[in-house]
Amino acid sequence: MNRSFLMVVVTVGAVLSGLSAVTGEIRRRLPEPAGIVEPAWIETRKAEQLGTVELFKAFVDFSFDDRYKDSGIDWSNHSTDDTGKRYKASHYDHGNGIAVADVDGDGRLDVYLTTQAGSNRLLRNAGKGRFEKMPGAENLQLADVIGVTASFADIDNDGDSDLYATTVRGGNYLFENDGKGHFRDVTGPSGLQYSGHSSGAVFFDYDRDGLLDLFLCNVGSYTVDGVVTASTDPVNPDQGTDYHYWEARRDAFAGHLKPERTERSILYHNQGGGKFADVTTEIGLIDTSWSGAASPIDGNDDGWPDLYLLNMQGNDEYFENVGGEKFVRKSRDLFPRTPWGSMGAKVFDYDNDGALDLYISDMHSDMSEEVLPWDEDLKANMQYPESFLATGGNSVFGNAFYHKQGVDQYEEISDVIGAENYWPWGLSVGDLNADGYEDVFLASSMNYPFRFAVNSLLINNAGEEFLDAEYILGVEPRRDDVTAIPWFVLDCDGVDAEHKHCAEMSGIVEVWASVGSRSSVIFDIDDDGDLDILTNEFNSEPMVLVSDLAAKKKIHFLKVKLVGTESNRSGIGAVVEVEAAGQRYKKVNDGQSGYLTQSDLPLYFGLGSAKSVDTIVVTWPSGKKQTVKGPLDTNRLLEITEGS
Amino acid sequence: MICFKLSRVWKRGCSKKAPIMWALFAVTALLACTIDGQGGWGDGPLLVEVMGDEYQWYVTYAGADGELHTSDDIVDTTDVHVPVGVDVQLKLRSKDFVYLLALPDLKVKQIAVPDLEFDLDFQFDVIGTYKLAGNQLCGFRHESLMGTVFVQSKDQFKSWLHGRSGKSN
Repeated sequence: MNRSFLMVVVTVGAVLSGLSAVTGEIRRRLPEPAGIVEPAWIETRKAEQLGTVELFKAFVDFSFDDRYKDSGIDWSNHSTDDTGKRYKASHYDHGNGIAVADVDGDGRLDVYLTTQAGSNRLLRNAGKGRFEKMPGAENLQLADVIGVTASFADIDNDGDSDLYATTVRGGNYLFENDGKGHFRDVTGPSGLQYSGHSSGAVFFDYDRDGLLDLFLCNVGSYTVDGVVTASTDPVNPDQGTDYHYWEARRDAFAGHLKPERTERSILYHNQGGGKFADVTTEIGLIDTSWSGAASPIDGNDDGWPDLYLLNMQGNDEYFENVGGEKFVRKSRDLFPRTPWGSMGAKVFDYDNDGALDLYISDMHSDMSEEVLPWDEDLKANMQYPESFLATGGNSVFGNAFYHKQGVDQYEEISDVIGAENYWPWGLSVGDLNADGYEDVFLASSMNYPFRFAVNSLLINNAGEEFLDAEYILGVEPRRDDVTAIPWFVLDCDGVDAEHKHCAEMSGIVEVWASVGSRSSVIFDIDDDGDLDILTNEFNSEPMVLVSDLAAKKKIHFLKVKLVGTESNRSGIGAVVEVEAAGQRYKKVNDGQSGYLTQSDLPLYFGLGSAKSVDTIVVTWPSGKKQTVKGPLDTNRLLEITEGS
Repeated sequence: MICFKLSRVWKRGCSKKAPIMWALFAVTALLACTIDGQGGWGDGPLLVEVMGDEYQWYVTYAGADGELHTSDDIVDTTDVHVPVGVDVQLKLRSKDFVYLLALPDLKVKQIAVPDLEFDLDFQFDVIGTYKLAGNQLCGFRHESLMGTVFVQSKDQFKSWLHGRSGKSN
């Protein structure tokens, strides 16, 4: 495409998209890139997917409805200007997480949404799908720092979920919950105030001493020391609030080639008494990957939680936990090839064979060239040379699904079972149709200045494969059929005359960009027995995707809440096996709920047609095995206390 | 070929003074391999630096002194001129963003990253014009990074280079 043709495309796009009058001024609308408003391929995609319903053995005669407008969640994510008007290819693109826990002990699951600019928000679940601002939670807003994500975990074994929030060079925060949803800042005494380019915070009990330790993922230095001041509303700057952020490096995406920009991730040991100690070096978990996330996983089935560490620009790493005393790197031994741009991970048993598999989403591999909508289920045709990849040819250029074959043995089968998709950030796993097989929601799509891509909803087809079902189940198209929204405004005759988009434009220009999700959590929002999906959108309002499954079909399920006594209080790391009607279901209680985040949720077992549960076996982190004998009634929350 | 023969003679040795004499001779001959008396390139490998800066390629050839980053460098933009049948050693750098430079006809590509230098070695065996594809990694499409490789006869290339001496874009 030559320059003159591009100019024509841009100009025509601007004219066709029309003019809009906002706050009394005439604005010309500029979609970037052209074609993101009502993309022509959407209807074709939808029609093709609706035509695949016959392929489903799994139940898909239900749907999700985005109830954001009725949810009471009056909140929006705001991204920094480096993802818009001052765009640079940097890790600010990665957005924010969303964490869930019952913070006030009322039995309903509350939500903590994070944002880069503006304020994080703790929302109290008021029941029936409604949320409201949690009273007295203003100290959790963290409006003066650039937020990344958060994790809920009971760090002091007092029976409530505490909160750890990460930021970009604003210091990380630990808040202790009083059990009623009131949080006290205990960052200073905890030793967890690290300030850098932090990301996901993974709480797990690596030494099985009954206290949750923390693995803090740090990405790497992707900002410079210059501070930028911008408005939280770049479309109507006067209506927003000014905030400050560290400017992104112009070559941030090559940070993994520059050792001086390394920020190694940190393993903190929970010392008790609310104090943590950095034991990274002495435990041998030293790693310099550009890592946004990690997941516990027991590769060798010895009961000690090993760690899979995701590298967003290079080879993933795997560390074997040797008796809680040290970690040994065994990355290529278990996983010879890993996704080049890993973002999210979840350990679960997709085919109910009793072995816990591992699903990794890869977003960065999808960046190397423009992918056409009908090629999205293919691995990326990688355009970056090895000098940039720096993985020695060990990369998978897309999602990976590691099917566990035995002790320390995994087989990568993503293309065999339909686990590839386009531009995924993280994944959330849950049995959305309660048939006993885990389904997957992949929060996906880039934003400015890239084309729109759909979120992927993969329905597990009886443990044989995943089938795309986002249109079948109403997750797509998104609310009000929106694929693009106003992103920022330019005064091309004034202060922004030198901006790239002003080269061919004049006057006030409203630049539009694709919408895109980042993080999600699958949980029963309205407590009606089926699983719903809540997202954190990038620079926009969340989606509250409420399922009507329970209204459409008589379902059978069991929610299991663990209460550790010798083990950590919330039973993080426990493996729960449920047997019902001759079928066995196995899940690990790791809290990994979605992109970059950890939540404190009960385990949800869809039971198919089983009307009762025969037995439940819990393998606690303490090593004890506990059997709960049935028959047990279904469709309820069952609390299992260790040793009872 | 001359350089290769000189190295063989040097290894045999002739006299006690021979090393110094041969060293001087070798340096002179090496310069003759890469520099001609007028433009800046003889018949040896062609050394070219390509620098990305504000979505533009800046292409630098050594001047008469045969060295890059001196006052007689020959600087062009966007396009690359090379002689046919000659090894080209491209030194890729960047002043700002991360770029990708590709020669689709040869199926080779390389990145340009600030503060780092990456090599791209290639040779065209047929005179003609070829696509030079440039891109900013994870950013906008920049038409200004799309260029052409002009593969010329050695004489044409020398003439072009000589004509560029003292000019810059």
